[in-house]
Amino acid sequence: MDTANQVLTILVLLLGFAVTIIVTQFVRRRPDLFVLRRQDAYDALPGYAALSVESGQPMAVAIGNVGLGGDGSLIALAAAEIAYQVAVRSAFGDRAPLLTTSSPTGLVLIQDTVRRSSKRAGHRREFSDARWYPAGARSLAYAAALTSLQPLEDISVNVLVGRFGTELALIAESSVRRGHPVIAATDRLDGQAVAFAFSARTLISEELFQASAYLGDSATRKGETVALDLLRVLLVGVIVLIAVQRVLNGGG
Amino acid sequence: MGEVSVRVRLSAALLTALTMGFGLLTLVGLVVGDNLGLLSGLVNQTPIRALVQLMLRFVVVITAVAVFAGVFNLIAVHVRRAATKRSLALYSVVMLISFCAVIFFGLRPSSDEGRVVLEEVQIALELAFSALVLFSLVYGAASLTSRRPRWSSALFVLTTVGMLVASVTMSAASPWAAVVDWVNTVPVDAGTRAILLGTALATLVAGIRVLVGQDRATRE
Repeated sequence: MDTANQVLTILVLLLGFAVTIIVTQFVRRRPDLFVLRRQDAYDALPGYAALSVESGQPMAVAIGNVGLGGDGSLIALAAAEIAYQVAVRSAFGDRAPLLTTSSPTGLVLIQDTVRRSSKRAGHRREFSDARWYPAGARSLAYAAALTSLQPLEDISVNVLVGRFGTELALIAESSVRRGHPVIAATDRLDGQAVAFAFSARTLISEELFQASAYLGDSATRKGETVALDLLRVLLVGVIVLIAVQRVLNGGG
Repeated sequence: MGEVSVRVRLSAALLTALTMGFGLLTLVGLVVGDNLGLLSGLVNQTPIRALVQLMLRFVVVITAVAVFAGVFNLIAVHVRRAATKRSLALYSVVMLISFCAVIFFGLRPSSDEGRVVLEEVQIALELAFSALVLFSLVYGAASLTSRRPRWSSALFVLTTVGMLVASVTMSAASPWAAVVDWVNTVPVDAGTRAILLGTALATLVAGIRVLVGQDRATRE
């Protein structure tokens, strides 16, 4: 990294730290002042979990090929948070939710999610089912495995959050054809387009990271979402300013 | 019961402190280079960079151990299934035989069988899956407007079909080529950047959450 990039990176990090910490503290003290905008996917998730408990059909949460260590670490943590919220809500039924990954370090993460959700729900032994499908970086084999799971495990709802490419179509099509809903979110652009085609409840971009704000009751998480919105406004402002400056300078 | 509760909280606190400490040190070691004056001097005088390299090596080792543990677990599951579940035993036996064959060929020096397994079996299977993905995508696009009759669904299908037809049939001199080019360079590029910037901002906030010890994975 050259000096300008280093300085810019440090400034962005410091600004991010400052905005997140200040806004979070402010929202924690006055949580009623801020109302989060509607997210269809998060609104529907508790209902799907209740449906799974009533029907005795498990939900499936797949995080794809993301795990700890590497550029997908934070996406893996965000996906694990959604898996945790699903597992906690499904913990009162007969069939445990099925959590799957194709990353070896992702398995450690979802096993820990199973442990925490079981503890939260008061189960003496681990309740959910964490599985690793070692398909490697190309996850077509993983998608094929999940497709075959649909009838085998009688899956009621598919939550596909994490890292998926176009192979997401295989799993989603299998689910939609059986009349079962899909919630999808991925950090890959080709996967995001496929997710939109198959899922009525898609999480786009940063919405994947906001599960605990919408599904949990923590004011801190809500504060982080407000901070994220504020940072986005700041970013839009900077982009507009740069564009105006370029136009005024005749740079196009 | 009280003792257990206190012990759990202490271990969570220790884990959070370790995460915060090593996370911040790694961040500083990676971001601060050699040309930032006083800040670089501070980093160079302390063993932060060596510690960062050590941490990154630990990540590689831990990943390898996770793969090893996962493989053992996988083998154990399939051996158990082959022994107890008659209906699924065949798949598990095939999997175990394939696993042993790949390991055997992989361990032999200057052997081509491992490469053959990869190129002739795995790649061929993945190509077949790719063809299935195509059918799934066509089904998804075709049924989108009936499942979700909204203007956004119609726009999605129209754009997809239009771009596909244009890319197959149109010559570069056609007036529609300019429209296709504009769609690719302006709305598609803008949407791509918007999604990437949103993800980057969320990653920044999520990273800060981990660094200040607020993430659930380390707190519970």
